[in-house]
Amino acid sequence: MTELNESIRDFIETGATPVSAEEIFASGLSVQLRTAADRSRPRLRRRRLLVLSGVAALVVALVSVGLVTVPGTKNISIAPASAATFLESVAAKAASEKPMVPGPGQYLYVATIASMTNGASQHPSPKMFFYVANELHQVWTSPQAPGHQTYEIVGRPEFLTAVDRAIWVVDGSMPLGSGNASYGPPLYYNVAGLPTKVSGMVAYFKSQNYLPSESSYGPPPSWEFNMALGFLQNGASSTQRAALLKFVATIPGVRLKGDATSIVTREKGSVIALPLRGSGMTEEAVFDPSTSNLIEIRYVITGLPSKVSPMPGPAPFVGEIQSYSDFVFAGITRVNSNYSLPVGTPTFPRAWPFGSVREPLPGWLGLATQ
Amino acid sequence: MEDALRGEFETFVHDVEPPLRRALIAAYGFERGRDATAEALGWAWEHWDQAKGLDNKVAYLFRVGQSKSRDRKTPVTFERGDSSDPWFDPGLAPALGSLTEHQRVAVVLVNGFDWKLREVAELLNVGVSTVQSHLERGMRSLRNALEVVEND
Repeated sequence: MTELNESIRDFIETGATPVSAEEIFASGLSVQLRTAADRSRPRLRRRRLLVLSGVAALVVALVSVGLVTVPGTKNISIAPASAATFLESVAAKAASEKPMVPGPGQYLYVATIASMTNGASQHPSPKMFFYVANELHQVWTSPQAPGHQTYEIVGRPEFLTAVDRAIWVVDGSMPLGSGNASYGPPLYYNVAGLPTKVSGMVAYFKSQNYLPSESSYGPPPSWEFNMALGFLQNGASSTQRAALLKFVATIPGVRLKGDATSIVTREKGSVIALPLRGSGMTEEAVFDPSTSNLIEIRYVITGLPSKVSPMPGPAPFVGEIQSYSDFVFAGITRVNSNYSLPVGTPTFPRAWPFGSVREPLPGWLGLATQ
Repeated sequence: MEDALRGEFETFVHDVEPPLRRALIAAYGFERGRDATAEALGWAWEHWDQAKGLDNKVAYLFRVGQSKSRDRKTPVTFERGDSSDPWFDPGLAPALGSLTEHQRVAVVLVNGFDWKLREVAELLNVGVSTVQSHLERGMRSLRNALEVVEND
């Protein structure tokens, strides 16, 4: 070793003290066995959490909550039909599709656009303001390489109320950003190991320690439905995809609800719905029967809560779509440091802010924050 | 149960911490690099079921450390507590700081700690030839800055 190399080694090695296991234990962090993937739950579930994240440059407290109201968007209710028949036909279509499992040196890439309500405040202002935005979520995962994900606001965000805009102006009209920036690397959904028979599906979900545990998720049908949708939206294809769709048909409470159009991508499909017991909500999955693609996951209000929501904004109503996540594109790409896009990736809506338009839409003017 | 897990984790830290700390310090400097190391190991403890089964633990945790420290505004510096430390060329810290992040990681790990090019390539998620290029350019810059003659 040369003198310069030795000097580099000693310089780096002696510049900072090692991090010990005791230091980690003393920090108060606790091991989370079999619930390790609570942070990597299916995205819609994650969005319903209230997350605080500091943005050092602006000393901003940023809050992301999954409460999005889509003015004027009502869910069409149609008499229940045979979910099993529909899902069996979609499964037959899926079985003939090309697998999408990344090989060595490859990433599975998935892009979705989801609704988000972000809250922020400019320190030391005690008041928070809220804005609604669509966020493009791009994920690169692989069984061999560390994953990567990005979030960015696309389209023009909108203040929740006139009062929210007023607070934003008083606080200095700060740039608006995604509240998701603090999440860690995404975890790979092991779609290659999925069983090809319905009977093995629940046991397989339970064996995947990166998934949230059944006990942490509420009633079993909700957990089973969410796990299946998670795999369907993360690359499961061919026989595994077909088995997942057949499995969904066996979940108690699942029903076919009629047709719907996805909110951002404007694709038409058929709705498979599962009421979430005790929550006043129904989770809906919109499938394109011609491709078997899961084009949208959304949560719809089916019963009003007895307590008033602490969130500002218009009152919720039955049939309101509270949050949604639209599938945009999935493909296989090469592992590299640039996280390149697969061939065929469509053009996304422009990231905010664009051009000289830096102010969000005014929102529901005239409604006061409670 | 908890004691057994702690024992496993201590062994894990013993093996993984040194190369992880060197890599993150090379990338982000002493303060931010050490913080990122602690963040990454904290993540490993919280997600022990997953962390202990990782194929390339250092590379994965390096990415976790990067992710955790991405929003920090702490500058990349190699300032030491004792500025009058006589053992090092006073130009070494600014010279290292002037390299690009990938050049610095390649120089520190390959020349300072005998990592193989392939190992650094896996860490940075780039090709071996790219690491070779970062290494050569980084060393050339360092030698110029420190006025070290070739083949010292």
